[in-house]
Amino acid sequence: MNTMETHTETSERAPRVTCHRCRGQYRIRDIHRLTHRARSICPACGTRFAVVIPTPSEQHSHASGDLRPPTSLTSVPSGSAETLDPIKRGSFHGAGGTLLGMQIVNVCLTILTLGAYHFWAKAKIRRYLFSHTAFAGDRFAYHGTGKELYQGFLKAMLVFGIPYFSLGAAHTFLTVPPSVDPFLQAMAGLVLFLYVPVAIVNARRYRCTRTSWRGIRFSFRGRTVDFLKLYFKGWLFTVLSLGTYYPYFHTQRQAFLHSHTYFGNQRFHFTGHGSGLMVPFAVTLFTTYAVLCLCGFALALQLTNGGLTLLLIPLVLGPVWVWWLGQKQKYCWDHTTFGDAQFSCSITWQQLFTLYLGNVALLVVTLGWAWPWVTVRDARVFLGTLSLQGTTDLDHVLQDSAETSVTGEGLSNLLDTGFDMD
Amino acid sequence: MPISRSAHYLDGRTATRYRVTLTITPTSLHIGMPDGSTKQWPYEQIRQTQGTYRGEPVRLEFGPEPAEAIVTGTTTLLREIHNAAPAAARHFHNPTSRNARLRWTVYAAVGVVLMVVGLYRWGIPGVAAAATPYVPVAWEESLGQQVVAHLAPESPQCRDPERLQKLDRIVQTLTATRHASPYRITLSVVDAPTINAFAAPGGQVVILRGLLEQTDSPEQLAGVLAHELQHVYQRHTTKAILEQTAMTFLLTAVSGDLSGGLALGLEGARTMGSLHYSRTHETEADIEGLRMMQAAHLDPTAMTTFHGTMENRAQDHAGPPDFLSTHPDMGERLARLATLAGPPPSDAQRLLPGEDWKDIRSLCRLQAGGRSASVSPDLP
Repeated sequence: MNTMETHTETSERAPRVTCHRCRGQYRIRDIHRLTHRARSICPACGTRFAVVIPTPSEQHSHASGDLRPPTSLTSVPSGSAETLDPIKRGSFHGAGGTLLGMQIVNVCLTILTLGAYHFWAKAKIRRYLFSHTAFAGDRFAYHGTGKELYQGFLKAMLVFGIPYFSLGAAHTFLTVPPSVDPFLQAMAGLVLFLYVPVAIVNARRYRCTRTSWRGIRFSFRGRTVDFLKLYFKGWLFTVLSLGTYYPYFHTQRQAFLHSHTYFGNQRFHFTGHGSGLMVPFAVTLFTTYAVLCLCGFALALQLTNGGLTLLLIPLVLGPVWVWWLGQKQKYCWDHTTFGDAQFSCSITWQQLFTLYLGNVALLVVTLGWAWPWVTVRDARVFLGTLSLQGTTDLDHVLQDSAETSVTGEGLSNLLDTGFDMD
Repeated sequence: MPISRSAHYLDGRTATRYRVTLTITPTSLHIGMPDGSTKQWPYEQIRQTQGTYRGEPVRLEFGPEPAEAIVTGTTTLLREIHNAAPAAARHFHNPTSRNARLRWTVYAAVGVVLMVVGLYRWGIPGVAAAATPYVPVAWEESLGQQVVAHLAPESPQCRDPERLQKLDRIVQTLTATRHASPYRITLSVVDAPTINAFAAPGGQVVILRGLLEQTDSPEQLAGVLAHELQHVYQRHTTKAILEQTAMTFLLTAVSGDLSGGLALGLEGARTMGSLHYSRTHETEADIEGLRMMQAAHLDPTAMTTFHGTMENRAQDHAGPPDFLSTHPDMGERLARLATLAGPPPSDAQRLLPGEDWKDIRSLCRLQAGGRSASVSPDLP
């Protein structure tokens, strides 16, 4: 539960209330209507709070969610107050309308500049989304620029794009013997296959270093080569085991990505293991096979109408796979820790199902133009269900400036320089 | 008199957040730290990184990275800085200008609609038409070989040399009207029952047995060939590829950051666009094909007669609506061609005089009875 504070900045009659979670400020029209233990909800982020009428000797009135005695509001590092509050939550405050307006201007400039503005537009949208994402009441900040995204794009094109396209289209420009062409196509496929893990790691590296919370940058310190090994091994085993290895692959991947992520000089940890996801994955996989087999039999024996059966497959399997996605996400966050505090994700399959169903409906009805609202809906649900429990001593988190600069240092270092293009 | 207000201060070295008192003076921002010390940030050296949009806290940064920062929940601070130091605060967002931004957004929306419509109608076809001459014919030929290898592989081709030569004479009559063409036209007949013909880029024209057997005279086949040859001469495949590429660029620009969500509408737009351009190309091939017939002194009405027969046979099948079709409405096509063709010319030359067209058009059947019976399916 969060606290709200009132401070009489403007006049005695119209004090303002600041929500500790979203930093939104609201005016209270009539202070005399506030009664002790009255409850209300922050209009912006929905945080519940209760009113505590202080003793007359105190200068400020203070409202506190957990009804503890008010603390002094004079200049104190609020980090120390933060450690008292054991649960910190995420929240998103962006508005679909503003995003749509930004997008319209971006599209206009992108067309006018023959596409060059695309990267700057992307940086602008990201800056907005990050600035409206809050954790424990403090906003994130995005420090990436369009120029960096453009350089990342060039880098990725140079190392992956050009080889991929030239290998794939070699036969249209050169006379290659028919026996060589499949080999070239396979090489092109390999380049694409290599690109995915390299992009995952480097996009994460770039985004982490360009993200800050309370002025402290995040960083990712995993090596691309290690991730490549993990990725190839994971896919190989997943294919060989007919998909049953997937939970182990997924948790290993999350472990690699989460446990190499730092906030300042402190590291996140991941304690999950594939066995924890085995049961929900087995249930999902088994249900999928069972439903598909049943439908196959029904169609083969002409027991049902073909179209109806095919329509039933997404209706039955949709909720099952949404449930699995929810379980996966929940497991992933529930096993991520930062210092002594543990992340927790309270997402339910019903929430996720309503979200996806609503998103699809919105996009279909508007032919895709409702994406700003879809983005806002996604962010609200995912951040709203995320919390960090336990004491975190934020006063001891220090900036690690050595890790926050990501610059390209020639091709030899390219795999670990961090680039982002998507 | 200087105004004071409270805010949060981040030192850029630790994650600790300090509550500080800000004092706005005409030249700089004074920060009263919790320990009683003060900092002075001249406005010129402060960077505003957040607070341009509604619902965003105002964040002012100072010094080299990792920068120190001031964060406050309201835009009142910005207003007060603008009031206290209008000249020095120009690089800060002015909350009072938000309505102007809304106005610019509306202008941008109108601009986007105009630009997208303009590019779609004229820009993309114009760019494709301008760029097509720069695409080498060799590239088209190489692409055409792949297309034919895929759509009309060697094995089911009808290869009766004597009758094929007669068909080639029809092609030559038509191609003789085009002087100095870089294309070497080759004709092949594929043993398939579908009523269709197509031209691959680079000059390979393929007719399927189904279509050949439906033609009543060599002139009718010439009408079909004239249309297909125009696809080659007008370089429609190259144009279509360029149009598709330009369309992808335009749609990428329109979709921006979150193309995933837009994919549904985008795929639809892309398909509709390519169908629109395809209909334009078909109309052009019709008109230019008809001119080619006229130039070769052939009766252009043979073209419409054949299409009319096909149309009558297809009456039973309801086709897709016009805007979902690759070809323009057949009724419209026939009407346009009939208008352009005018009355049948009196001096029209006859193709393959003295030959039995029924014999020539059944070259695949004869082949079936002769050399390779296995490749020919049962005939009705």
